[in-house]
Amino acid sequence: MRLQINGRPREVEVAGHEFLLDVLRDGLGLTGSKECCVEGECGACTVLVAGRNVNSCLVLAAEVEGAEITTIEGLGRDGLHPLQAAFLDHAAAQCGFCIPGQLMSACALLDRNPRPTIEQVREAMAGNLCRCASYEQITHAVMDAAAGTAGG
Amino acid sequence: MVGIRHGHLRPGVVIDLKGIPDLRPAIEEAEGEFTISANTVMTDLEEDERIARHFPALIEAARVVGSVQIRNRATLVGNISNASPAADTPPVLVALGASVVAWSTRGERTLPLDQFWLGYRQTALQPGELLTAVRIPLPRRPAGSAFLKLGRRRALEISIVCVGASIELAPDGAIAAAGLGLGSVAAYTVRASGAEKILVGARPDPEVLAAAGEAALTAATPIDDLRSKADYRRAMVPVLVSRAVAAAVTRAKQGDRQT
Repeated sequence: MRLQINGRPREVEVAGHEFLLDVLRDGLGLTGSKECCVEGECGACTVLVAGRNVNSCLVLAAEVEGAEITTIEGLGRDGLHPLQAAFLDHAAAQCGFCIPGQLMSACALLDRNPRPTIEQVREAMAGNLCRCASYEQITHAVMDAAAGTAGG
Repeated sequence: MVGIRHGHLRPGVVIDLKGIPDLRPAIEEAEGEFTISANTVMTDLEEDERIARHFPALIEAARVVGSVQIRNRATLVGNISNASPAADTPPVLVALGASVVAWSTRGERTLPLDQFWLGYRQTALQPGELLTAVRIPLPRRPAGSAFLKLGRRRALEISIVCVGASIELAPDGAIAAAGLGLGSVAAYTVRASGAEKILVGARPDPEVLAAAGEAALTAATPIDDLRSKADYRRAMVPVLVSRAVAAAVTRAKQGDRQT
């Protein structure tokens, strides 16, 4: 079947029971999206499907045939995305494992709501856990990216 | 999906309802009721201003289902069909007097939501039937609704107890109609009919709300589980019921002043 990933059509052979995350990582070598809890708690596998952030570990690949999929590899391909710059500014990444998912959720939030309140950021990012507990840095990085003050 | 991913569920066939054009996401108002189609996700509800205006409790419940990532995929009809006793939106839908539309090649039938669940994870669906929509009647009088959820944290939490309340007020300020749904206190989402009876015709005074809260216990048959003891659930039902009714009454009064 055909998947539209990061603006590129990709032909992949997919079994009916295969999940999007596995197709991305094992089939296409896009290993930025992480496998972790595999039940929709942690958000490490977050990607965008038609602009909305979803847990790719809980979406069958067959469900998203033809939809535009954006993974962390598709973010900031022309230099750093403002969110990536803000995460660097704030040293929001410690071990880094959750960061691709954090960035995709932040990206989905700012696409829908370019100037969120700090409460809205916390709410929108509640589905992305960080075991290093960088929540303060992550939240402020998202606020800075929204304010357009990142990367300076 | 979690069950499939973990291998607890091993279905021979999975049908993706999102591929069926007739079930595409839609929230429609006609002839005094809202119809919400099977593929409407929680995010669609949260972003619908009509739902926010008429059924604020439904927004409150939809907003605490999982995370944004989950709410972008999880449908209202799915939350009903899954038949979890701890689901967030069903107590509100029961309170609002919702019904569900079951379709099969034999035809279509509509049944009241509080008759849809038959037991723990058991529904009235026959083989070959699927839910295509949920219908919510528009209140005819000044109305308000509220959802309250007790848990240990605010996000991604499965309720210890949750309550949906819907109230319609008569011109003299008495309660003309009341709906109450309880989650996490029985094998499936239950209606607190005893409490509703106490409320209808009464004025929403603190003594009446307290009596309704106590009466709601007759519908509750909680168990001990990893989230809470049954005793604690029983202790919390009256508190949440009376607070939810009070919040619904306040909203009914505010809505009345605005119109």
